[in-house]
Amino acid sequence: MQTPAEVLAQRGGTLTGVWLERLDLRGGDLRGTRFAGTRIHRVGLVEALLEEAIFDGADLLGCDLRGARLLGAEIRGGKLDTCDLSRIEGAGLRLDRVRLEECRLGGARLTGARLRGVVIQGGETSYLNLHKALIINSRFTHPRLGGAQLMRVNLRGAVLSECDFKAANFYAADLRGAVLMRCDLTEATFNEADLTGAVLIGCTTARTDWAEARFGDDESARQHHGGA
Amino acid sequence: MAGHDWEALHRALGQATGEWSREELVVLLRDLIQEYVIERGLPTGTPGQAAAPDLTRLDFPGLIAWLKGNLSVPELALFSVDGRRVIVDADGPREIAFGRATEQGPPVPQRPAAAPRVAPERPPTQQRPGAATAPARPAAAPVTAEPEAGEKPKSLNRGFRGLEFD
Repeated sequence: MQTPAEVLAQRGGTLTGVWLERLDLRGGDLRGTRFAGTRIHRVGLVEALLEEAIFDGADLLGCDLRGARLLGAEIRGGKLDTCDLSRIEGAGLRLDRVRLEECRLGGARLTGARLRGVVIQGGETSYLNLHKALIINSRFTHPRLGGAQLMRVNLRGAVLSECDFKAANFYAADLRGAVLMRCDLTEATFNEADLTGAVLIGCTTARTDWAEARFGDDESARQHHGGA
Repeated sequence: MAGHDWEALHRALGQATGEWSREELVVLLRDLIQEYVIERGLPTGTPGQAAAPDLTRLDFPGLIAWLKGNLSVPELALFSVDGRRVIVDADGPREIAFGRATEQGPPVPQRPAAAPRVAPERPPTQQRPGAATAPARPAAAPVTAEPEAGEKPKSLNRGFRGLEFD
């Protein structure tokens, strides 16, 4: 497809195996569109309407999705490489076995999102809003900085199971009421993070830095249930 | 989690999920069940996974294969399944052509004096390979097998007299 009009004409339909490159789809309406095995390279999708869209095995490289609306959308498999997802609206977004490399997720609102088998490597992940999200078997890393930079992330009421947060920096993160099960928190730091009412079950906490973390009055999060 | 303080965990979870609505909790429960029960399967050794399939739906080779894989009964070692055939090595190599009469196919010319392939009997002192694991055969008992409709009853060879069919 060569023009934005050709792509936007597929709204609500299915784009299978096509290659979209260097297109300006800013603000475009692609709600409910299914991108199957599609290569989307250097496409401008700023503030695009992608509610309920499905990216099935899609490969996004260098795309600009700032402020895009991805409420209820699904991204299954595939990879997002050096994409800008800052301030996306992604409440209820489902990410299933997706790899995000060097993507900017600052300020992305993923309230109630479902992340499963997701790898988030490098990039920018501060101020990410994962309020009441369910994150399963996912890994957050930042090879150059030693661990994922999760400063001021909102994980309030989130449920995290079997996730890898080795050496992650949770500076000033909000983990109130979060439930962490079998997560690897080895060498992670929680300076000024708020873990009031958080529950840790079977987590690995070797050399985890809790020194400046807040646990509320009852310090329930300190009561690690199982784990090491 | 032997000796775990379940009461404390219960209280902590109650406090942590205090902000969740009933609907949110139901959706959370659904997604956890989807992940850990439906899609990943039950953990090994749980009663659910160990449950037998509907054995009445299996054909005879399938039934024998399932029994061999799930029961540690020495007698089942005498049976071997070769595709659609079940072979019994009770007293030398022998074949039982179960179900052949029901197979649909072109008629095969009858060989003169067709008889089950029977290995010559060995002297009683000769030890069969693998016989150490085989149980001692009980005294010869009358064997009755229900012939299939329209099929001429077959007389069982002496080699099968030690087997009992339910």
